[in-house]
Amino acid sequence: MNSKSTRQQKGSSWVMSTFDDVEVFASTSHTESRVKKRQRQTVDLARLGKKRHQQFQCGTDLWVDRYAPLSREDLAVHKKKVQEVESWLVESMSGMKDRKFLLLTGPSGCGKSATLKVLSREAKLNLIEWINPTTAPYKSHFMDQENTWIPGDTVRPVSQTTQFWEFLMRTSKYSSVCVQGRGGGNLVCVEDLPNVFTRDPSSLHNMLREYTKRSNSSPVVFIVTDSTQQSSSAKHLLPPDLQQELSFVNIVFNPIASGLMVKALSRVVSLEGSRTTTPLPTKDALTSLANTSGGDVRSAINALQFATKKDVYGLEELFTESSTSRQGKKSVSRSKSNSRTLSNKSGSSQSGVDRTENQVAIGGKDGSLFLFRALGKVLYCKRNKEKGITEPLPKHLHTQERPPLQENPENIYDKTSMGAASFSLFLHQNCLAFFSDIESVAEAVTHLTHGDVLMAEWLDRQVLEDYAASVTVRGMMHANENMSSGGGWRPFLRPQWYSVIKESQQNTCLLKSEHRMEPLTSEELTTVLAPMKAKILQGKKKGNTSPTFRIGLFSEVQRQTRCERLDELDVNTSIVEEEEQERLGAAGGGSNLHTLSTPQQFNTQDSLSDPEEDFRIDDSDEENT
Amino acid sequence: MADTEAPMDTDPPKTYTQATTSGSKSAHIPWIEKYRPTIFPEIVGNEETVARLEVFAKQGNVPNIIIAGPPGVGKTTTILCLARSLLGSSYKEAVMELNASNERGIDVVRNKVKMFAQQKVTLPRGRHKIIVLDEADSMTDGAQQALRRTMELYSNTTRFALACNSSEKIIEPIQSRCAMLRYSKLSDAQVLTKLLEVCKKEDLSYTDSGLEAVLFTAQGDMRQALNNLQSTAQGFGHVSSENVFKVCDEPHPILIKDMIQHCITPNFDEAYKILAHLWKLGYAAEDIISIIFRVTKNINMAEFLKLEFIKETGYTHMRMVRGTSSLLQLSGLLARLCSKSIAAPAS
Repeated sequence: MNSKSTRQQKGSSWVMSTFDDVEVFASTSHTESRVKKRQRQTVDLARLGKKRHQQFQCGTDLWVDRYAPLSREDLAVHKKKVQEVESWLVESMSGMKDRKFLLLTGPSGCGKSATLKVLSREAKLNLIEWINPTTAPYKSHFMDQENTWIPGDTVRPVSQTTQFWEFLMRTSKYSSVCVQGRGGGNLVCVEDLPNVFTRDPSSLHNMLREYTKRSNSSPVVFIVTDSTQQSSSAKHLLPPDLQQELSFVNIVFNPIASGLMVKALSRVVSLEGSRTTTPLPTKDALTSLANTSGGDVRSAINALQFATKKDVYGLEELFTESSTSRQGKKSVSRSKSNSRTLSNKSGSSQSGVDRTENQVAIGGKDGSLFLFRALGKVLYCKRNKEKGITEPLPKHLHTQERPPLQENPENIYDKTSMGAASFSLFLHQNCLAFFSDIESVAEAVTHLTHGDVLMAEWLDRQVLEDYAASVTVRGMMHANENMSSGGGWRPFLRPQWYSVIKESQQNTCLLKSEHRMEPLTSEELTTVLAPMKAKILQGKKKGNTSPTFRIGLFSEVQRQTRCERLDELDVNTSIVEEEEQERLGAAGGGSNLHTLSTPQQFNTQDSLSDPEEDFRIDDSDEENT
Repeated sequence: MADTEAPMDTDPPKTYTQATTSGSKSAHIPWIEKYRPTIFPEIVGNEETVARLEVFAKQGNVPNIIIAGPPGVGKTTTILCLARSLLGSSYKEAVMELNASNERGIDVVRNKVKMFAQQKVTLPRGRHKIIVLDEADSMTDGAQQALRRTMELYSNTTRFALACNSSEKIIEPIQSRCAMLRYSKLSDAQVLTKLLEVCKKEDLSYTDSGLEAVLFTAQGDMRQALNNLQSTAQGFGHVSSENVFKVCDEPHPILIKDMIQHCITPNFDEAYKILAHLWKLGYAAEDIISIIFRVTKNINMAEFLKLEFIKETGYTHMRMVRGTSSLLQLSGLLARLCSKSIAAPAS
C-alpha cells in the first residue's frame, strides 16, 4: 500500500492528470500524509507532496456548484417554504386537479432552483429543464447557396417557440431513456424562458392554455427572479389573470435570513476544511459576510470563495466594516457591536482611516459596503473642532461658519460608486434622525431639493450629476451643525421609495389587467376609475378583496406606512432594551404579520410586505427552535 | 462549429516593453498601450483586490468576476493580466473578448458566447476558458438575461470576467453569480508614480508644475494622464504646465482660481476681467464652467461659500446644457458668486 502510493506520487510529478475526478485526489491525500510521516528525512518527496497538495487545493469548479445542497437539511431556505413546495409536488404528482403549474418567485440567490432540485431528487422525480438552444446561423449560409439548394438537404431553422412547444410535448409524453430505476414521473422546470416571450407573452399564454387541455401532461415549474425591469418580471410574463385562469400556485421566496445563511456558509466552510489545510474563516467573519450579502446565498458563497483565497485572517476585517447597518433592522445586537468597532476605528488615527478606506469591497451587492460607511460619514459629519474656524466669513454670515470637515464630501460620494440619485435617496430616507432642530432640517432639505432640480432632466443628468451630488452631500453636512457632539447609534434604512415604486407598479399592473377593456391610461385608471368604483362598491359588499376596491380606497397604503414607521420605532427603542426582549417582541409582532400574509395564492400585497420584515421573523424563528 | 471569428484584438504586449529602449519605431505607439501593465505587480492602485487576483492567477479556479469602477483605473488591464497569467500560451484559443464595439445583442450572447463556452480547449487543471465582457453595463437587459443561464451551465469549463463603470446597470441575477470587485479612483500620488516612471523611461524633460497640470487634467484617470503626457511630450518636447494646458486646450486653472478668489473677496471687476480674457481666447462656455467647478471643489474656502458656489455653478451649467451658453450667463454667474459674501443692505 505504502510503496504503491509513493509510486503514484512519483508518477504524477511529471504526468499531470487532467481528469476532474476529485475523489481520487482526495483519497490520495490521506495516504500521502502517512507517507510524509514515515519518510520525513527524504526532503524531496516531502516537497513534492506539498506541491501536489497545492494543486488539488484548487478544484476546477466553483464552490457554488461543488457545495450545492444535497439534502433538505443543507438548504438555506426556511423550512416552511420547503414544505410548501414539497406539498405542491406531492399533490401534483398524485394527480390532483389544479396543480399543473407552479411559479417560484423571489430575489436572486434565495434558493429557488436549489429547493426544487433537492426536492425532486429526494422524491426521485425526473427533473427536466428547458435550456435555450443555440440557433445556428443558418440564414447567411442559406442565402449564399441559394442556387445550389436541394430540397431536403438543409434543415430549416425552427423557431424557438416551436422548439419550446415540442419540448413541452416531448417531456409530457415520454419518460427519459437514460434514467433508470426512477419510478417518479417527469417534472418540467422552466427557468430560462425563450426570449420571444418577453416581447410577446401572449404566445406563451396560449401555449400554456393548450398544454392544460392535454391529459397526462407533466407539471411545470416556472422560476422567475424578481427584477425591477418590467419586461422580465413575473407579472409581465404570467399576469395575474392568467395565473388565476390556469390555477397557478405562486410561492414567493424571501431573501435568506442571516441565521440560516450563516449555517449554510459554515457548512461550506467545514466541507472545504475537510479537503484542505488552509486556515478557515471564523464564525464572526461568516456572520458579517452573511449580513452584507443581503440575503443572497449564492453571492455570499462566491464572495467567500474569493475572499478565502489568500489570507483568512484578514477576512473578518473585510466584512466587519460594512455590516454596520443595512442589517440594523434585523440584528440590532450585532450591528451595535459593529458600529462600536467602526467608531473606534474612525476615531483612532488617520492612518487607520486610510487603511480601511483602501479595503476592497467584496461580496456586497450594489455598494452596500461603501454605502453605509459613506452614509455614516455624511450624516455623523465629523469635524475637526480643535482647529477652530480656519476660513472666517464676513460678519453677517457668522452663523454659517463651521470648523473644517474631516472628510472631503466629494471623496465620500466618489467612493460609494453609485449614482447621485440613489445616494441622495438614501440620505433623504435617513437624514431626519440626525438633526436636532427644525431649522437645520429645513436647510438640509432645501439642498436636497436643489440637487433634485439639477438632476431632473435625463438629458443633462450625465453632466450635472456631479453638481447634484456635491450640493446634496455638502448641504447635508453643512446643515448638520451640532451633530458631532450628540452621538449615539442610529439605524440606517433602505429608502422607502423603492418599495413604494414597486408597489405602485404592481398596483397599476393589477388594475390594468382587471380593466383590460377600458381604453384608459394608467393615471386615469388609478385616480378616477378605481376610487369611483370603490366608492360605489363600498356599501354593497363587505370584505371585498378585488384590487380595484383595495387600491381605490387607499386602505392598503395607510396600513403600509404605519407598518414602516412602527418598525423604525421598534428598532430605535430596542437598542436600549435587552436583546432577548427585543427578539421576543419581534417574533411576537412579526408572527401577526405572517399570518396576515398567505403566500399560497397570488396575493400581491404579501410580497410587498417589506421583505426585511419576513427576514426578521425567519431569523428569530430560527433562533427559537 | 468552431467560431473562428471571435475577436482576439489584444496583441501580445510583451514586445512593447522590450521596444521601449529603441526610440524611433515605438514612437508611434500610444503610451497607454506601450506602458499597459502585463503582470500584476505593475498595476497601480487597488492593491488589495489585485493581490487577491494574483493568488487566483497562480492557483487557478477563478470565480466569475465583475470589476466595477470609473474609467482609467485599470479594470480591463487587470482582466487581461489575469487571463494572460492564467492561460499563458493558450491565451489565443481560450479567451474571447467582447466589448461594446462588438455586437452583443441577445443573438450574440445566445450563439457566439454559448458556442465558445461549448468549445473544447485543452487546458491544465484548474484553468478555464475566459470570456471577457468589457463595458458590460452597455449590454441590453435581454442580453444579460440570456447570459445568466449560460454562466451557470458552463461554469466547469468557462468563466466570465466583466468590466463595467456602474454596477447598477448589471442585472441582479448576474451580480449574484459573480464576485463583485469595486475599483476606486486612483489617487494623484498613484498616478504620479506611474507618470514619473514613464518620464524616466522616455527620457522626458519635465517640470513639477507640468506633472501637476497633467494630474489636474486627468482627474484620477490613468489613461487620460498618459495620453495628455504623451501629447504634450510629442507636441512640445517639454512638459510644463503651460504646454499641458495648451495641448489639452483647457482654460488655465490658475486663471480660474484667481477669478474665484476675486469672487470670494468680492471684487467683481477683477473677476470679470479674467473671464473676458478667457472668452476672448475663444474658450467655449462649457469648457470654462467645467473648470470652474473642478477648481471650486479643490480650492480652500469657507464651507458655506463653497456649497453656495457649487450650487450656483450647477444651475448655470444647467442653463448652458439647455442651450444658453453665452458670456452673459457666465458673467451673471460671477455676479451671483460675488453677491454671496456681500451683506444684504440693512432695510
